Amino acid sequence: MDMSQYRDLFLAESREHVGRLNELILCLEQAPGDQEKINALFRAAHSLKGMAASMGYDPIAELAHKMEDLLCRVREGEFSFAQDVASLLLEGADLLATLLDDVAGERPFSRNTSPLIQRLITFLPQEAVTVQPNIPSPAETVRSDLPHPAPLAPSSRESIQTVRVRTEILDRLIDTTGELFTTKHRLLDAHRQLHGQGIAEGLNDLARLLRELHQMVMKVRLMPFSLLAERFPRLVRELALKNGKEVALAIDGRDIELDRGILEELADPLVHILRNAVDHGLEPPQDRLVSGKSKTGRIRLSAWREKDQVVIAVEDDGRGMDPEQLIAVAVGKSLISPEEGMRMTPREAYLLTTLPGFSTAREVTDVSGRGVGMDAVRATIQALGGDLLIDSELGRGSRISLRLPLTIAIINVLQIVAGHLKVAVPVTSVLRTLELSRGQVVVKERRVSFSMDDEEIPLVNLNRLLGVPLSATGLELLPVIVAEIKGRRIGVAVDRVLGQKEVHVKPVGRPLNRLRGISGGAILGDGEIIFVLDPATLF
Amino acid sequence: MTGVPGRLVLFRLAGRRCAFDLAEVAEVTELPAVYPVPLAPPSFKGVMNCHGRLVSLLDLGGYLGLESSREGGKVLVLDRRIADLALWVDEVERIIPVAEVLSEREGEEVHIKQLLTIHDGEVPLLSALDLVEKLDAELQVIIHSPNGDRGDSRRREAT
Repeated sequence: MDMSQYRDLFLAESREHVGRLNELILCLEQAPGDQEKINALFRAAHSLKGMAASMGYDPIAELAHKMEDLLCRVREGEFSFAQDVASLLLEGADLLATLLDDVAGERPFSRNTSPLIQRLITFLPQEAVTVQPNIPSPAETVRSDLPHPAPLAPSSRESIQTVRVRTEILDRLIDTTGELFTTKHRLLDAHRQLHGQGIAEGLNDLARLLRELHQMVMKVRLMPFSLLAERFPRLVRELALKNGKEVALAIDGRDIELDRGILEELADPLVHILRNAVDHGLEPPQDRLVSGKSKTGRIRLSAWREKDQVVIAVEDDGRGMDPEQLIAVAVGKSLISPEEGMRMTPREAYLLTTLPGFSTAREVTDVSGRGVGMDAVRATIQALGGDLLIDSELGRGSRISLRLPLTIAIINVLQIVAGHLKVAVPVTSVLRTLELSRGQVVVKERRVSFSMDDEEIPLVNLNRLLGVPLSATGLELLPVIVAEIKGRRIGVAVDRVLGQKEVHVKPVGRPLNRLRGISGGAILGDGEIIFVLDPATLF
Repeated sequence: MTGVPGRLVLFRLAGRRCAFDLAEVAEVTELPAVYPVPLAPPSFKGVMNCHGRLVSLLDLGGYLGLESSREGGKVLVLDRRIADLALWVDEVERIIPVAEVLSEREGEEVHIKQLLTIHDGEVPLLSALDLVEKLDAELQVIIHSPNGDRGDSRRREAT
């Protein structure tokens, strides 16, 4: 019997259960008496055990079973859900995740479950040893014949009103709708030339149906923020333990929905921001007490909707940042000139932390095997058509806000022309557009610049950047877009600014994805394809 | 035959006959409308809309340094598991089963996997995977400068 189709389903559901295990264990560590959560934890382990047993994955089933037994002891009041219980169960959840990865990779199980199973069986809580010397021996307490609660009815979240859809099918759906739009435009053009009366009605219907289909497909791709957020309590807990800090993480807006593509891209940036908050933002407990703060540092991860955007913010009540000090570091590393530093607002100074080369080697932590610094965080957010803002107050804490489009596919771009190329830049990276007269352009020691708001802004030519011949337009006024890249303003002279447009951005695949300076492409209504430039890597 | 795939696509490139493993090719199409790709080397003729995907079109003859003075031609769209890449060739001849290959020997150039002998001559078997890996490496090192030149020189200030 071909079990592969069931294996995919098993993996998807089991991983959800493991995620839920992690989330619940951390919640219970904070509120050990929450019976409802203990029951939910028990159910997750129980379901995992049943599913694994039915698929023949015995080591997974057995491990889940022993975790369930341990929870049974907690539920019966043998001991409370203390940190040692949490740590052991988290180890179990980790091991389950590893075994599930082995199943996904279609390889033999890479880890032996026996040592952990033994520890689960023989577990004796610290408090029990000292406070309750007469507790029964572990052998007596672990009774496989203990009645398990009857399986509970599926929660509303698991109701049959939802189905799982493979992500590649979703991707294909969105591609197909995009193609249908293009086809519609072709038909419209043909219709205009033919003046066929009967076609008009059909085309109108097609346009309406397409719009509906497109909206539906976009909705299908939306996923709750909780899918991403649920992994962070665990991360923050471990970072806090490692740093000897006490941290309480609050998460708001778990139900806010975002395009799955955006969610995937946000994982590394958020890990980096949270890691920064724990490592550098929050003070050690003693320092906090001296400053009159509570010993436990607070981090709040929130998501909320603002019109057609989603804002995700990470806020801490730590030491905050000193703009003067940031400027001094940036000047010291020759990232900015002293004059530029003097003109900076505090908000601009905070963004200096996103300049490549600003962070010290210690701060550029390695996440998931990849070096991800704040510069990479900002580049990722901008590539998604979003923006990053930093607010801070010395001694009070910092807030990093990521403002993102609701859906990855539709972003607002500014269409521009350089030579024979028509390209686009995300509107979020453009501060303003202007026209410079030749007299306003200053050339000094081969550096071209112009003055705006009493600031000298370097001016580059897009044609040169893209390697296309310079246009001899002979125009007296030079169209310029002003962008803020890596905390600095820069003017980019273009041949023509065509205006704004909402476009459905598609990724460029291999091998063009190796080209720096391009973040995606879009098929316009008439079938024309334009590329969306990535200002962070191009300008 | 060892190492030779099940079926081959035979095509012509600057008067030479070449082959790809049919498994590496998703479809053969006429030359579609293409739009220029900024920053890409000249052998990239542009990007095309392939069933809603953005697929770049490489002039294979030009890229391999062969004469390329054709009009029209055909497009071999590679399997998307390999790349979002299509190859512009002169003509697609036919698909042959591996049974028609009489002998094979090691290829002498980077993209040529093997030299196959069929009843009417020798055919270099190209490897799409090797080709894409080479393109990956080449595109990775393109650095754009405000002077419009390219190369693997260190990134310069854009002023």
